[in-house]
Amino acid sequence: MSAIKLIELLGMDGELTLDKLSPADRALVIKLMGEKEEEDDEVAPNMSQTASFD
Amino acid sequence: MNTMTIKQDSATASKIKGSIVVVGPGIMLGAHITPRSRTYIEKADLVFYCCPMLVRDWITTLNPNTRNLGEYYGIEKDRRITYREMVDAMLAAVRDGLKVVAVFYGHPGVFAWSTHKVIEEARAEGYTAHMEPGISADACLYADMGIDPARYGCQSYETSQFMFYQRKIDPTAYLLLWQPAHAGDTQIKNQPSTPAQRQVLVDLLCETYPAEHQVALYKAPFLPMDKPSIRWFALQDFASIDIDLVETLVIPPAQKMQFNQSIMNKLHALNQ
Ligand SMILES: C[S@@+](CC[C@H](N)C(=O)[O-])C[C@H]1O[C@@H](n2cnc3c(N)ncnc32)[C@H](O)[C@@H]1O
Repeated sequence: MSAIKLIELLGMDGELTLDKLSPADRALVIKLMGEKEEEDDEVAPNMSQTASFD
Repeated sequence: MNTMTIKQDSATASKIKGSIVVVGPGIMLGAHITPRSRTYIEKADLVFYCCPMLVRDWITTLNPNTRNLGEYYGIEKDRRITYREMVDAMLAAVRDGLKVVAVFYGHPGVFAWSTHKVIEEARAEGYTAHMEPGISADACLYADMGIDPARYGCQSYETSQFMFYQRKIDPTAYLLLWQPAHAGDTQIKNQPSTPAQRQVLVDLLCETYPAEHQVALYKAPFLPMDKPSIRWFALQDFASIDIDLVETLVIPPAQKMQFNQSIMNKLHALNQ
């Protein structure tokens, strides 16, 4: 299973935690997290126009 | 709008190919999406998204035909231009006859301009368009901070709008300020405002609240491995604190609710 699907599983099951995954799966998730931390996210997802000047 | 109008609208709309459904994945990846929104994403011809990084990757596993609306942001760019471009991109796909789904994180209609706008404009052109609700940041806040908005009441404002207009603050209720990282940015850019701009907010709030009133910056976790973050500090320190662009400012009540005796008298009189 891909790292992102493992994170989805963690999201879907509140009793499942990173330490309950197999070592191989846990390593996959941690690796993805590490890669993403280095990437610069272009979205600071603020989407409200503030209606500032209506 | 009466039932007749609704029927006519959908009849007109159904003749035109192309549609849009706006959905929200909630805040936490995998945890918050409704089955209905998920199915809309899976069945779409084209999925637009405006979501945090890993949520974008996850949506691509549900449907590989995606376009990232985040590309329209620019650090120095007026966010109003960005939001207009998002609407235009989505509408163009609808006009091409596609079954379009737009995924905006959290609840897609909460503090989001493009989502309401694209539905309004798509409908005006005769296309079917609607929004599905999702779990928003304040829904998480109520859970993580143990706040029931009914207890004292709860006011919610976009921070800059709250500053630009004369509002009546009720210090006996909660006050939630959204997008506090952009407080006082009159150019609506996509970067945090300056400490000087934020100090203007502090001064404004200190007209109503004591400077040492304890307030919190709240961040709900986007990932199931993360924990909620709740940072308490004195209101007067707000300008000097580093803020995450997705944090929400929580200002608890500073005064007791005052009984409205004259209304109570009127109500009691009715009972007699
Ligand atoms: C444009 S609004 C989008 C809100 C989103 N549609 C929702 O339903 O929560 C962005 C603002 O929402 C709030 N927000 C977004 N994500 C958040 C999170 N994870 N925790 C706390 N507040 C958040 C912050 O005030 C942020 O500046």
